[in-house]
Amino acid sequence: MTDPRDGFDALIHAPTRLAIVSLLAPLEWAEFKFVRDQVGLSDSALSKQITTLEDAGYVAVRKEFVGKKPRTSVQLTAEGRAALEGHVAALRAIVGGML
Amino acid sequence: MTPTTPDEAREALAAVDRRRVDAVDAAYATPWWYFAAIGGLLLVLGGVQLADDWIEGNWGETASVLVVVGSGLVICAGLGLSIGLVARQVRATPAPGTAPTNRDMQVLAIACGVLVLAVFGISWALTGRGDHAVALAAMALGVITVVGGIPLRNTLRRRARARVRQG
Repeated sequence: MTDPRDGFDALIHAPTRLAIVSLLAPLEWAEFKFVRDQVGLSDSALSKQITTLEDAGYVAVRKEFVGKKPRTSVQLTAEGRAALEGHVAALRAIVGGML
Repeated sequence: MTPTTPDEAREALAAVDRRRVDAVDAAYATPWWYFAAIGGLLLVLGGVQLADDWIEGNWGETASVLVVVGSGLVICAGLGLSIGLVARQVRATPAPGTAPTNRDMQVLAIACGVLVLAVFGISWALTGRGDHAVALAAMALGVITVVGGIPLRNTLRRRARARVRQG
């Protein structure tokens, strides 16, 4: 039997990245600015975190123009969703282990 | 790496839950003025239709046609503007798992449809005029939109929050 703690994902356990993937989890797409405002990061800091998550295959980035304005949106991929679910299960197992 | 303690894990879980709720709240953030605008436009549409006979009797047929066509154009422009403004403000769209189910939307559509049809039927029976019945049904839909828009949005938000917490 597999231990739920095996799903612990060090990459998304970092508070900022955990905040980003948790925020994206119930959403289809979210605007970059929305994520920035919610997580409270600068553009460059968020961009760095998004790149890390994108490299891991956890998020997808979409760039488009709305009128003349560029708009960047972010989406949690199926892989990212599975990683978050596994990580949450691992966290629950850790909390449960204390009881 | 230092192993995560149960307290840290609990804090992380609370953070995950908080962020998910923030995301749902943002996805269901249709402003009050949107419902007020749509409802108001429907009320104006019905009002113009009801006042059409009076306008024709007092100001003539040309004025009546101009008022009906003019108000129609204003209403279409207003609807387009309201929908466009809200669409531009959307910064997060709910994932299929958290969006309202087809059943939710069917129940909502049937409830509104029954109410509007009831108003139409009663109005027709009382006034004997189909055009006035249509106007009153449009006004009823307008009132439903103004009064029920925000409570409906909040209900969808609450249900989405519950789905997110279950998942």
